[in-house]
Amino acid sequence: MSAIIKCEDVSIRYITGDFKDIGIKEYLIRRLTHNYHVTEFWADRHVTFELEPGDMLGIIGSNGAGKSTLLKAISGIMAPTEGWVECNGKISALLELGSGFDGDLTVRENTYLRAAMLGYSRDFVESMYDSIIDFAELQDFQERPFKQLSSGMKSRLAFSIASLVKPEILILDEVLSVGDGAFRKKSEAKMREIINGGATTILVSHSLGQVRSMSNKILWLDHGRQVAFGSNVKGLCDAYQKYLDTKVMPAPEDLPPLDIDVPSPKPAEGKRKEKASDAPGSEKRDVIDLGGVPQNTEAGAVSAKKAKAPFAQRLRSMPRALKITFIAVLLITAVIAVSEARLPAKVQALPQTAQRVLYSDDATGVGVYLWESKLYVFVPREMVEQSGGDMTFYLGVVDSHGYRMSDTFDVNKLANGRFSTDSTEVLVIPMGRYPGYTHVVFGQLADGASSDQVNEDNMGQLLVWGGIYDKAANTGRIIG
Amino acid sequence: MGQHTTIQTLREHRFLFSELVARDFKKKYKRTILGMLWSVLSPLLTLLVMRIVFTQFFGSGMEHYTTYLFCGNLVYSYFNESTSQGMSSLTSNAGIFTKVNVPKYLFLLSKNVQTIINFGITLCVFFLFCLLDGITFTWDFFLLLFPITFLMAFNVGVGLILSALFVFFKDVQYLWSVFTMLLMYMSAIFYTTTDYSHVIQQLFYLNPVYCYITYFRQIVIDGMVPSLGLHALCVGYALLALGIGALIYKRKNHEFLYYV
Repeated sequence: MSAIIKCEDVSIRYITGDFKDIGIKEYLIRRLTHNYHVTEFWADRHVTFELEPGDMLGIIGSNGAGKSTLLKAISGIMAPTEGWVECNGKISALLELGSGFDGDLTVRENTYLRAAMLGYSRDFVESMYDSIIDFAELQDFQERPFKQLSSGMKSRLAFSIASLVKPEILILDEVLSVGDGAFRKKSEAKMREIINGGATTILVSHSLGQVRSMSNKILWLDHGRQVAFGSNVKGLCDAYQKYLDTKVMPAPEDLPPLDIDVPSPKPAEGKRKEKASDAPGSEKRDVIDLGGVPQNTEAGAVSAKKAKAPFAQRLRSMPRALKITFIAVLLITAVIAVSEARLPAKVQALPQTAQRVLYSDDATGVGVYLWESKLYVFVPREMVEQSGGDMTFYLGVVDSHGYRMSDTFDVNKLANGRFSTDSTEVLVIPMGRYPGYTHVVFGQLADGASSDQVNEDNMGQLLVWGGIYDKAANTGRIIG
Repeated sequence: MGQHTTIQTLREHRFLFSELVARDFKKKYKRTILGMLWSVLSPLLTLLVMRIVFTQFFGSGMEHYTTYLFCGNLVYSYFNESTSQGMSSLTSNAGIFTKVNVPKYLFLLSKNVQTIINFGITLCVFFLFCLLDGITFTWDFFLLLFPITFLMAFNVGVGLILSALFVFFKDVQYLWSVFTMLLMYMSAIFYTTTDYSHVIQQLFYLNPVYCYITYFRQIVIDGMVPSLGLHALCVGYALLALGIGALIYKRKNHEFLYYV
């Protein structure tokens, strides 16, 4: 039978220290004063074991032995610093009951949320919901906010959600000690049912009796070190009990035989990987994180292939909404590109096609045209260059209130709304900015003149060339 | 077979995603209609205050000033809301991701769904205001999908960066609120940039929010298609923010839990 969970030489480095909850200022000060301490320690060191479908592994060890950290690595929450973990099944992990629930939501809402987190589908949860509530004995509390439940009720709900659905791998961290005696019996019975159904289970419990009666394999950790792993449940539990009583760690040769009837699954020394990064298992984890596929893991080879999937295939596996957005954006960009590309041609034809010619001087080549409520100012490039790159176009607007506002546009420097054709600089001014205008005064501002100084009397002096356009009469007058 | 499981897992995550969105909604609005109304009203009230202050006291005589203001306010308040709320998405869900292996960016995306809905409602009100302000609607208005799409992406990207930073340094929260205020004044929301010299006008484009605002204004007020350069800026800023954010999440994926 092939392994469903495989831990190869797993080591996990944990960091603690000053970095938690300090601000940037505090961090910098401590860095500068060399007062910044981060302690690293190995929560797990060289842990190697393998489980087959239907196995029930009991992990024993005193506090701080690295049990919970190991479970986090198996469920993919942490990545092993060295070595690799391989899981070939759907994991349902119960680490610290009651966490991940939201106190403000009701029991029903929390059930759906938790089930979603564990990776079940909506249809499945809907079909299982009643039996989950029945098992947790919370029929009368379905619409209650979660925070109003007793801790026993919370644990019961958590256990029901994780176990009533059919996981391939079930991870239980101090879970079976929840609820009252009756529920404990019921949950143990449920556990046996799951195990008999072929699920692989990992159990962490401080109740040695529970581990003894339920497990068929034992992993003994001590300060992150693997003391023993084997199927000799009785022998190993006895040795552990003796260690708890005497506080003397037995020497390896004093340990009971690790396995009873089956041959020992000794770790294959030759296959050990030194670095986590080039191990197939860790590479697979990366793929999982990228694609957001936490629970459904496959063999490393398949995943590695998936990571290098061709672009077309990746495009196909994108959610439909994303695909539509992507295509829409591409289309829009194409439309823009086309409209942008077409504009200069349209602009170039303006002297012939414009709806209103406001100003046109064949001698200099200057022209001002009105087209689709935009003002196009044509200035030959030669003229712009001769001006030393300092040419200002003046626009004054008069509306029915007589209010006049003026804008100036640097012909040579406007980044937007300006087009260059082969020989001409074209300035585009949207007249939508000035609705209700009755007259427009326009022209090239003389050197040193300020737009504020321009008024009806001195336009002739301050504008090099220009005109006044009367919108109502649709007539123009040339100044200067 | 690989194809099948990818689709299956996506479907599973869609369920988780919808549950997260539902949870955030229920928590934020406490199941009240008024709660939702408030979040739409608040940018409108800001707009009203700005309108009164800058037309009555500072006397901006610009035409379509209300629309000009609303363009800025619309984009800026969406950016502000999205990033400020997204910042806490990792820390407030620490109880989940340290115990269950779920893709961490889902928390941010779920927060963003809310702000996108708010933005959508405000956008409808915006078009109503445009109508009142005498703006002519053209086919060019469909081009607004472009800045909206990339503004969303930009906000998600900044949210990714901020939520990751917030895990490591809690005072990012205060710095960010100061920074967004600075950004508001730098985004030409209530003033025009035409009075500044050419160099300074160009410097405004260093501000991504200004780019998205300018795109809106050019379509809605000026009635013209913005230049290709502005398109490139809109895309570039969004991709940059998304790229940095995704990189941080990928690199630090397994480190977040040490800090919470």
